[in-house]
Amino acid sequence: MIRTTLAIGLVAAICASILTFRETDGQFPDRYQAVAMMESSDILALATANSPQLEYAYSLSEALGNVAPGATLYFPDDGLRIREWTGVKLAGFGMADSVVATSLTTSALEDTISVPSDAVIHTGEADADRSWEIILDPDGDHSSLVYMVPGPTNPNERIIETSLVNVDLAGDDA
Amino acid sequence: MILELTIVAVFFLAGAVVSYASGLRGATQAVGALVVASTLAPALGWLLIVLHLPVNLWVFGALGGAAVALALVWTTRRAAPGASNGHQRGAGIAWGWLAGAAALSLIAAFTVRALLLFKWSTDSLTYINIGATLANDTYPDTIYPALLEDRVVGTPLLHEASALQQEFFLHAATPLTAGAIAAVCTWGLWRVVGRALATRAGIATAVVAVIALLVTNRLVFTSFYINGHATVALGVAVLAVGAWVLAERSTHTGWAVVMVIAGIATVVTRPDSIVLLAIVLLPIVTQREIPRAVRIWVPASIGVAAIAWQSYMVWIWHSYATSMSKAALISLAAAVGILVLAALAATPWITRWQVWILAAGEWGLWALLAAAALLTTGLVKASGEATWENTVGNAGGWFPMLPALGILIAAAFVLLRRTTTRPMRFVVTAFVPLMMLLAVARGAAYRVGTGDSLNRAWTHIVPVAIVLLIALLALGSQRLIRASRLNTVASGS
Repeated sequence: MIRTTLAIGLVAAICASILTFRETDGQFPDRYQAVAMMESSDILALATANSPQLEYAYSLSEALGNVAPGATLYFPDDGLRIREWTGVKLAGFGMADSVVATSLTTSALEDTISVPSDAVIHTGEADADRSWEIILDPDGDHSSLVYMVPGPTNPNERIIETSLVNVDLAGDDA
Repeated sequence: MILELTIVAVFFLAGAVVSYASGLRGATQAVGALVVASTLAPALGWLLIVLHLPVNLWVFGALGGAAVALALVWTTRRAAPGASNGHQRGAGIAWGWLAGAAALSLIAAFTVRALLLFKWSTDSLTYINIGATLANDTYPDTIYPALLEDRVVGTPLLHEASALQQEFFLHAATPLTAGAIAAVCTWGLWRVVGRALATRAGIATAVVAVIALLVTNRLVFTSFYINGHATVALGVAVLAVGAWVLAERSTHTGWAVVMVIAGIATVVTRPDSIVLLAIVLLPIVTQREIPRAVRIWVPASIGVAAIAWQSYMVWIWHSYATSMSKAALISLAAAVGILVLAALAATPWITRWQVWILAAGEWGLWALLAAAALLTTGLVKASGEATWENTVGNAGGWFPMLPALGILIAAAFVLLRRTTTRPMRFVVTAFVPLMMLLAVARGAAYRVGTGDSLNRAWTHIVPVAIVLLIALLALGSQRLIRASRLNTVASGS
């Protein structure tokens, strides 16, 4: 009797779950629904296209992966072994080949960079209200650099996060 | 598409070899293969990271290939003609079951990729981004303490192979993990109920379990969601359901190998896994009906791996942060605690005191929660209200299955008792105070909405709860016979 009653309860719960499945799904956006299909497998493009916050967060990494895959990234950390989310994003979604932490300060590294006159410049906006530029030197396959222009707010964050990344500045003949 | 199906086939082959080498036979061999295929990457990959070896696909593939080759050589030598057991080469390979499981895996992989069935959130992006750094070998030069502690490494490792096809995630990874959960749940019911009652009853209960899993909206969502919840749910199911099947003497002790692999994958998949594993392993260690060797070696293996992993985390904090994380130290202590459990399993008294140990553990958690409710300013109350809204109010998408399971299991717990189900029962009932305490530990209440961490974490125990309820309904209470009565019967008086 006890088991029969409880079994009826379980069957009722299953039936009620079937009846409410669609209604439950309907209260969530597509990507939180149980069975809705996505438009594309390019999850990074989906993210940056659907959310301004995610565009800020990932557009630079996405662009770096598109225009300069296989780059060597030099992160100035002033010798402090500082690692931040920006570095992981640029290395991962930026499809870097290797990452090197330099003991140079940001300003010292900045001094070593010169922008070629015929450089191809890609621009966009990154997190913390800062814009970015990827400046590609057309003379070399990987002779390119990424430059995040300090924004009007939080200029000091340039030091905390990796605000200047030298992408294989010395050039790569490969 | 071809590459993704190839990756699925390779992982399934590795799972099948490990399952066979573990001594599993028949349908259990295929279920073991599915579990190992879904957990092998996280269960192996973390070791490369700890050893400061590259985790790129070539190294990963070479080591995995070598491990599979060694397992194959070992098993074929053991079963070669003239060997002591006299078995024929290849004897014991469940060709039919393995072929069926492989075909289902490939069809599922094809379908989810063709229909673009995947779910993502900002967390998903973080996981697959870390996976990209693993694949291009920039992980050791970029990982930092807070990220390692929050996101761990299991989910990135699960998706790392997608780099072979210039993508950031494997479409098939999470759905196949969910498929393995369903396989473990149905296998457990089929084995135990089928043996205790009738094969037809075993199959019927397995079908009911599959239906219950399929109609639960958030379980279906989790089956496609790029995150670690499915892996943790699989680990919990493999350990808790597997322990029940072992306690019922309905499977080979080789299942312990599957338990260890799934358990280690769980350790490295979510930051709170280590405390969850503590409540999963406690009833296993104290369960008299489970063979002693399993009770010792499963927690010992998981404990050693957990200590190594948590030590690495402490080292990362020491190397790249100005202060040490309390959570990292507590997790390391919990890992040591799991190894201590293994040592205690070797003592004869621990099984005799199971009821008291489990009661002390569970009531201890509730007592801590009561103290936390008194000492914090509304955090526990806020968590409780949000959880009520998510489950009963359906803001989190769990209504009606989760509240119904709560009521039915509470009633079954009071009215139906079966000693061997304790490994499942304890994790289901202790999960509630444990998760409420974790909210206190992190200093932030749970919130209303499907993205809330507890709302997602229900997935970790709901499959086990479904198996527990169906098992109790099918088998009823255990007839307990006093030892003195047994002695009387044995002496013939």
